[in-house]
Amino acid sequence: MTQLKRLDQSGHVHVSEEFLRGDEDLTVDDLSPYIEPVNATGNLEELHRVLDVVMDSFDEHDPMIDSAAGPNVHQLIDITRRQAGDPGVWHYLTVVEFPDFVRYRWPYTTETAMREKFLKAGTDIYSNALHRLWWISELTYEIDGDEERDYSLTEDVLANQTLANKIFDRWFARHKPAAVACAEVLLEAEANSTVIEQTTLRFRETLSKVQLEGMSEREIRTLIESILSEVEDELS
Amino acid sequence: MSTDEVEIETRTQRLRTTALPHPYREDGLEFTITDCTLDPDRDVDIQSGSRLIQLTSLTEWDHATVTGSITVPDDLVSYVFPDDEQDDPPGTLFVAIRCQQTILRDREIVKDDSVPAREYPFEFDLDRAMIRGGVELQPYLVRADDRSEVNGRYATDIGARLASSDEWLLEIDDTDLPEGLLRPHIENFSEMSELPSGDHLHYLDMSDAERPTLYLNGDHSAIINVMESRGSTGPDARMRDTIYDLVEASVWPQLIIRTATDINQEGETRYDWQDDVLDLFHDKLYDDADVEEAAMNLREDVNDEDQLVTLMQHIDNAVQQKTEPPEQLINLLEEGLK
Repeated sequence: MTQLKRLDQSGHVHVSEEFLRGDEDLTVDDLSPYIEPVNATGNLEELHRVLDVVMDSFDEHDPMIDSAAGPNVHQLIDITRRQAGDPGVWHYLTVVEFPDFVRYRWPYTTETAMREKFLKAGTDIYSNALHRLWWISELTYEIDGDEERDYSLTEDVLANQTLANKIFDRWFARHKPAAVACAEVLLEAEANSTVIEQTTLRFRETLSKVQLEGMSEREIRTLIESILSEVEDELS
Repeated sequence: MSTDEVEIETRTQRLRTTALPHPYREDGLEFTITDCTLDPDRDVDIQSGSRLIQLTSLTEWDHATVTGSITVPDDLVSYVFPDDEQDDPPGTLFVAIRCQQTILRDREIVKDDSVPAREYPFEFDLDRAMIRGGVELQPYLVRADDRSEVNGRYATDIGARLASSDEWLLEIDDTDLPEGLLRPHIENFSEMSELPSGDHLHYLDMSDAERPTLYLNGDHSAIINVMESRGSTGPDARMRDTIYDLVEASVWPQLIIRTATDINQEGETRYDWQDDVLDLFHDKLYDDADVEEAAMNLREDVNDEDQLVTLMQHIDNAVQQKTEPPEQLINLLEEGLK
């Protein structure tokens, strides 16, 4: 296990456009004044190995990379939510440990977009390349009968970019029972992009009247199923 | 408050009337926290006046036990439930637990199935591994049974919001501002032609809209020395917090307005920092609104000249909720009396 570190914001000035494009390397020595240890560990050696295998198995920028990498990121960086809430940890992991993986997964479109993949995190789930995989896994893994983590829903969600986008870019996804129920219902229905968009949008609108935390997972599921049914009827 | 009265109130309430076509009382519950204990058996001072429990100086703990009560008044039950349900009102009473930094939305059920008017005590634990920064605790009463087959003015859906109250805040760690936002740069304004005159204390430079920069005027060295002080107690710390409130009261409205003008039809912002602004202020600008709802409301309000005065009131209210100037001033005054 390796002690995890964080990259302080003052080190961000060294993250140049050339680095974001992959035309320039940054070493630990370059950033050492801005790196500090945190009280958490991760199996980074194994994660390096796994992500190398993932990159060998998929084409560059293939969204299916997420499904193969997400559960591994979560299992091998096995930290608490409190530790994961430190953006500096994710900035260290993307900039120092896994910059090649970030660039392999995400094409360079604009400096702003790529900077977000390396240097955003915090309360925005859909931002930093590794933070995003970790949080979507955290909000979708389930515990099976043997008290083991079951990432099958995580893999299915991350294999469907529209679904991952429309659920985890929305505020309700911070309530795990809602994220799970929404993902399960739409996956079971094999919903297309339009249905996913309309159902998640109407679900969000419904939440202006009901308070998510006051409902059970079964009640949330029933609500989403009824919204899905309405949407499918209207679109048929 | 009758439904008719709600119709003529501010935009937030009008939105709520649209969203909640049934009786609802925002301040209908009495929510009290009486104790907070850290393991093992360490009591924490609670600030009832400001609904604040401050744990920032305490590090050696794993669980916090929060004790208190929620009172459901008689007149609330008669207001939000129909006559035939008032003897056995079908509701769920709970405390919503929200922590932005750990992407947490959870709840602690205080009473379910039936909520007759009375005081309901509660006690629950917060696991430190699940929280960071600040944790908001807010009570809700929601409907527990489906009544959709019945027409009328009352809520019908399971989970429909019936009443709430102001939230309490547990400050676990010093609040981390979103990285880059309001992290000031100190420059001598008198030496920089692009900054305003030397009389200014601060200046928000929006010339690079992607990266607004807050400058503090190093010409005022006595003030800057206080602003750079690092302590959490004592007169410098109190004065520093008060000065920062002054700066924030000026800067946040500029950032919120700029964010509002940049939100597109889909409710998306233009720059990353604007997402941070919405994260910080969404539920303070528009009660209980999530980020997306607040974004759409902001866009609508800033483009409607009839709403501008109301919008500025919302912004002022939101910034004061964030900075809590009375608390900082009282701290400062108490420091002066020592």
